[in-house]
Amino acid sequence: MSKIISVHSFRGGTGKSNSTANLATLMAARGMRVGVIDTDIQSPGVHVLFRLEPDEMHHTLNDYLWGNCNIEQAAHDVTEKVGMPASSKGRVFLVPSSVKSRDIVRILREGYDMGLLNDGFQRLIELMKLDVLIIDTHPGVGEETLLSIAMSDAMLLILRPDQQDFQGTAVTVEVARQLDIPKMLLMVNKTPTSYDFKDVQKLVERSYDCTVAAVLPHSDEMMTLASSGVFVLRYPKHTITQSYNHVVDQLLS
Amino acid sequence: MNSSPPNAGPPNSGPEQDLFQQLVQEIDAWPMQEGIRTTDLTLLNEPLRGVLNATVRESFMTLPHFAEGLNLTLEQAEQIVDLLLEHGFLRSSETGKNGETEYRVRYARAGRNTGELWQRVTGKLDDRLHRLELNVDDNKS
Ligand SMILES: Nc1ncnc2c1ncn2[C@@H]1O[C@H](COP(=O)(O)OP(=O)(O)O)[C@@H](O)[C@H]1O
Ligand SMILES: [Mg+2]
Repeated sequence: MSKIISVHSFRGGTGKSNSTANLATLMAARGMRVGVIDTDIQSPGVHVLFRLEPDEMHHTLNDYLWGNCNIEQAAHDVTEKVGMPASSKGRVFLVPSSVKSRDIVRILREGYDMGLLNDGFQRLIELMKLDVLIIDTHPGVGEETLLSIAMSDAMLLILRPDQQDFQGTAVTVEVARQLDIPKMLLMVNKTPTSYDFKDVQKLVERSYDCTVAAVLPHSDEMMTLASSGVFVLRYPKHTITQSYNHVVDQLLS
Repeated sequence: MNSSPPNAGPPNSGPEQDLFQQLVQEIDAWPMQEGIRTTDLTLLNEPLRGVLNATVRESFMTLPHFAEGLNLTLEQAEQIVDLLLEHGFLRSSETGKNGETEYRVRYARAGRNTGELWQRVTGKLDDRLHRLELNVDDNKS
């Protein structure tokens, strides 16, 4: 059965888009057909990690929501762009959000029919024969994001070891529970390397009564990569890559 | 209905009837809306919340699913579904594979910022961006 996974955080800059791209790539490397949707319509970005240039986007999620195309027409095969072999059985298909300022303003201005999001996800899974669909969300608990969570079989909730993140994450965990999300995993990102990671994991698990799939360090390599590519392909032996693989195992189990 | 002794009421009284009445009351307390927000789901009580959450996740439900999820008879479930349609929680859609009606959650339009001020601000922004684009095009040609 296909799985919808949303990647979320209460605050921005937490590592959602980087994690989405890395998890999608690892799943594709395992031979899976993976869809990625950028539902962060107000501040899109995951296309950058997949090296999809704005002028290469023939259609976007915006076009679909305006009725200008079918959802599958907005899906771009980025498998090779990201650096995987053309012969790869696993594939990554990205549905980007438009980065044109006028398109973003139009969505903010007019809103859109949220039923289309739900229909679109299902149609994409069916037509593209996806094993998994990963949703990169807008931070916070806005309507669209809540709908993404409500539609998901699993959620990866990312937080940094920061008091603001701690409080906000508690809100999200509570709401996600009200929406009966079948699986919820936490991931702590950008942890100072001076911390004891086991302690961080225990503390967070106890605070939210929720499994912590991984504790990732703040990494200079990740910072220097600066979203210009997918970390797990650039550093296949790095501990962060191992941790992401571990997260994939738990998301798919 | 709580005051009547067991088995003394009309033939369809009992715990099921209580649950049914409870659901009717809960749904009737909601205004008539053109679709709901996801946050509305979190405000519902069980078993309604669970069934509507499942409808979102599975993308649709049929009448027998509702009856099972709400622990009601088919006839009762049909009345509840009608009430949900009326209050804008559900929309019924194209018939399924074997001719069954499918019910989907009906969403309110996204975009919380619909006030007049917001419309004016984004309208101005849109105009300006449009003019900028035209200028760029002029410069190109
Ligand atoms: N573990 C990490 N260590 C260092 N920098 C990171 C790490 N994870 C993400 N980043 C950086 O943080 C910034 C925000 O990441 P991004 O994935 O865009 O977050 P979001 O999508 O949640 O806004 C990017 O510059 C990214 O390179
Ligand atoms: Mg992002």
